[in-house]
Amino acid sequence: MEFEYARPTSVQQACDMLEEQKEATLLAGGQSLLPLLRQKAVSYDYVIDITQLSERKYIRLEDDQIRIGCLTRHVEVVESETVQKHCPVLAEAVGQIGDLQVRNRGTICGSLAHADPSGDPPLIAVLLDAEIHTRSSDETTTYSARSFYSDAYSTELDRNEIITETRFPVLDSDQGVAYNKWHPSEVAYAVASAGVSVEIKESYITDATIVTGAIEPTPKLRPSVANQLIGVQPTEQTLNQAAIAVAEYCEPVEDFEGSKLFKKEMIKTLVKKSLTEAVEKVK
Amino acid sequence: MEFKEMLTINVEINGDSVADTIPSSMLLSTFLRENQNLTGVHRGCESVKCGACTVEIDGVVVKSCNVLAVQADNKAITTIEGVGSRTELHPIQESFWKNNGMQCGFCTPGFVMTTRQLLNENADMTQEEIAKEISGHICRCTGYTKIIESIEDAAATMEDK
Repeated sequence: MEFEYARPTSVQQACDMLEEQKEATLLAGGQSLLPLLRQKAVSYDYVIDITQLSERKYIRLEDDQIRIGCLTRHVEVVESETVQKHCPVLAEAVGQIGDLQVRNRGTICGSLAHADPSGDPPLIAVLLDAEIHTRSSDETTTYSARSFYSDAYSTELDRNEIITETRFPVLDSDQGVAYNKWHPSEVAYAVASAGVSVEIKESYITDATIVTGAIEPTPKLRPSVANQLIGVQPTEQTLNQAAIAVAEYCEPVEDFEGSKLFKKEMIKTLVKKSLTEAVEKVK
Repeated sequence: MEFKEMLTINVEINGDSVADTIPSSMLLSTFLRENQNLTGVHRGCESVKCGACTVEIDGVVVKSCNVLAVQADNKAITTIEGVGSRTELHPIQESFWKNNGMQCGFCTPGFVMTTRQLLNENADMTQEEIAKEISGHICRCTGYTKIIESIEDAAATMEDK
């Protein structure tokens, strides 16, 4: 692992450096990047450390959105009263990332950009349709998290772009959101995960979103199943049916961590659990 | 702004100011062990799992095998060498010793560093909460039970003081 290193002090400077040196990579918390560099899974001749952009470390409530700057670390999201109050599922999910030391160092926007298929933040961003704001030397762009992930470890980001901020919505009072994952040990990556959001009015589901993660290269929305829940009363039976349907439609990638069948069973369990918890949260 | 292969960093290590010129790609664990001779920073898995290399940067614990030394520039680092002394153990070290919270001792510096942060933040934790908070550490001897008891005991001792 050998590279040249620079530590810009403004976003503009960082963008200009990326523009000039397109073979460079950005380093924030480094909790995903450094292991990859050390294993030589990736190699870069130039590393741009953006941790000096201290003005990018914030969590702000603005226009019914929680704005999180690109250098906000996981631990700050977990402990943020704003996040706990207005989007508790985000604090819960980020609190499940890695371990204490990793959360002390890693950043949520870095995790969104890294696009690990098993990552917790990408799934939550897709579930809540977060806005990902980026900058390059000459333009700013806003992506919907739902169209951001193209493949495992791949996003719509261009090489010269920096995520400057991610905006998560403030949850509605009649909205329940839950997230669950299965991982073989406390610090291992998820083998299967599921996030669910439901809105309930007068005991009928008026809106539903289901996302599965870790089993396929990107987090995946399950609109056909979710739409069938609309207009339905949430009961043991209806929620079960939805979970079985998601398991039926999903196409898990088989690997050393589990067969297709095993992952389908896990997804069924996790979707059911998340649906039940989400409904419970509305009450 | 230029890219650099070597960089001079200024850090405070266990209360002492240190300046050193190092390769940009040097890991913090390498810098602490090889340049600063702080061999209490143990290198175990080298892949962010075992936690033996855990040190504190500006009050929070990190795995030093997964941080660049240049990223510690202008920051304060505490290693196990800065905790307690040869003649007087820190209450956490005392507690690990008294409760058999270690056998071979390889993982212990990391556990002690993390315990310091945990007890600074919240001295009142259940065994389950402790187990969750120390999940970034691996111990191949104790089975963790004695470690968790050591942390509980340290919490009680430190609260008394």
